[in-house]
Amino acid sequence: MYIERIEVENFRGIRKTSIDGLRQLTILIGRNGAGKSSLLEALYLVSSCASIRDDIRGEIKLDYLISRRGGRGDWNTSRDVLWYQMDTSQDIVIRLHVSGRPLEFHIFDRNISLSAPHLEFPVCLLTEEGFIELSNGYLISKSGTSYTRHEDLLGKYSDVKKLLENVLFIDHKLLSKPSLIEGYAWAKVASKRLDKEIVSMIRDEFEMEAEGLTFLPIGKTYLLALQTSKTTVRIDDLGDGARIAILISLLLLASNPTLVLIEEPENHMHPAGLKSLTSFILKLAKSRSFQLLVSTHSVEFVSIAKEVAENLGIEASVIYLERNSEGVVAPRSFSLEDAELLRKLGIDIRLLYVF
Amino acid sequence: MLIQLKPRENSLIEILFRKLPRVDALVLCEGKTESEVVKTIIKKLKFDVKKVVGVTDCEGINTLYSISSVMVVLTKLFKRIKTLGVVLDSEKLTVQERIKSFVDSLRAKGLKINEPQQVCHQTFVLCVENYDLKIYVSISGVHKFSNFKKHTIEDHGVLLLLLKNPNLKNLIGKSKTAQEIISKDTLLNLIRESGEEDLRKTFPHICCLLRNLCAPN
Repeated sequence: MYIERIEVENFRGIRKTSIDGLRQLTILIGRNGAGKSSLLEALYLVSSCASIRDDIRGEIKLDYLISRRGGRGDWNTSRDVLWYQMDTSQDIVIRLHVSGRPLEFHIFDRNISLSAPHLEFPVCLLTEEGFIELSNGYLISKSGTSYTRHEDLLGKYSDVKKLLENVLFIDHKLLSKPSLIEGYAWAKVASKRLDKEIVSMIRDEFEMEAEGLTFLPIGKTYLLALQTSKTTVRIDDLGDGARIAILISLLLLASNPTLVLIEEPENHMHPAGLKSLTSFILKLAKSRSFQLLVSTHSVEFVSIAKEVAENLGIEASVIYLERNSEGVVAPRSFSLEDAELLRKLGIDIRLLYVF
Repeated sequence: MLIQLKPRENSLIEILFRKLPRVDALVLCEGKTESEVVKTIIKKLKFDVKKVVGVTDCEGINTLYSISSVMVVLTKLFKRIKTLGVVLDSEKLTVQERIKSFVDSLRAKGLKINEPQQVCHQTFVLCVENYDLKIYVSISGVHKFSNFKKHTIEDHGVLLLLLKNPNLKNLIGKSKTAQEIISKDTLLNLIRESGEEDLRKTFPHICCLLRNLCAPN
């Protein structure tokens, strides 16, 4: 199941957008503030309908969305920042076309009660029957005044629930917290010896003498470390590129994602490292059939992704986003081949706003 | 203002540092020689500098993509550019045959194109349905040089050469292509050294194309 189209209304800096042409790999480009991260966030927000908590981050997804950029606030105190111009009078609406099926999600301006989370439903799927909260099967009337539990309805939307339960959002804040990733991923990865795949990727480009990953006792705790032929180094002490590559691969191998959202994978990466990491990610996307949305400012990433995706037979597209002063985000979708053609004509795809 | 799109790294710096809000028109040439000729003529004839005109060529990609494929991609992607220019060689075709074959290949690739309208010497305008875009197509070749086996932009260089030295007529009769008479470097030097009037006489199609691209909307 792949998302083919997304429409967003009243979310973050986006008053309205409608984006077609999403593929198994979709690369989002555009100027700062164009709405690339907001689109990734919109999909993460929708996933909250199926699972309100993020198991990796150990917090409520809605709270994370509010605090991830500046580190402040949570849903109950600052949720209005998620609304376009902080106007909570209208719902945030996110529509998806998933394998030809239209789905409409509404995000309501409601408090979450942590003591009884089933009593409030900020993110719901609009259906003929009413609004459904997919994690527990509550059906809320369209007027929003009453609710009942309808677990039978969940069967009808089990595939949607499965898609949204397994959304993996890899952003800088998460990558800056290796302890969260180690805690979530290491046992799952080590139990199947998937760490060998990571070491192979690391040896390919980042640390030629890498031999294995292990847990090293440091003080009163254990930390993930990379073993080389001569020493063992905490991943905290590795170069930024190697550390990020290990953390991203741990996340991908430990979770069983249906949709992976990655924010600017090029950060801290030498092009050779970026090529190794991109190959690793796309091979997994191919073998595990997950969809991938990546935001980037890197034309090198686009060129690398084209080569790898072509070799693997992955369908891919690039979407250039441009936001006007009224908050309308206009997309231009094209293939990776077209991106390459533009490059050869001397047109930098990051500067499409002048063309 | 002229923006040379290749190499991309240079045009990136130009666009960023000049804070260009838009490129108004783009000229797409089949090869590097044509784009060099267009750039030199723009500079020489001092076309309206209020508009930003980008120039690029399909050198290196024309074995993979036909110029019509490139046009289709650009037509669908561009939003701010309202005018595209294309410089084509007649090759072995007449001007009418060449414009027809180009329009047919655009149509075959899904663009709804009206019948081409001739705007001036060997230059045509096409309108694309559903896109707010005009495409000016300039076709190079001096067909009165009937012994030439193919007609290219160098034909016009030969014409310019003849203006300066009419005695070369005999040489033309003995040559099968203009490239035998004039090299790329000679062509560009000749254009740089020539007067405006001579350029207007010998490259009327390029002048016509640029006049239309630089015209106010």
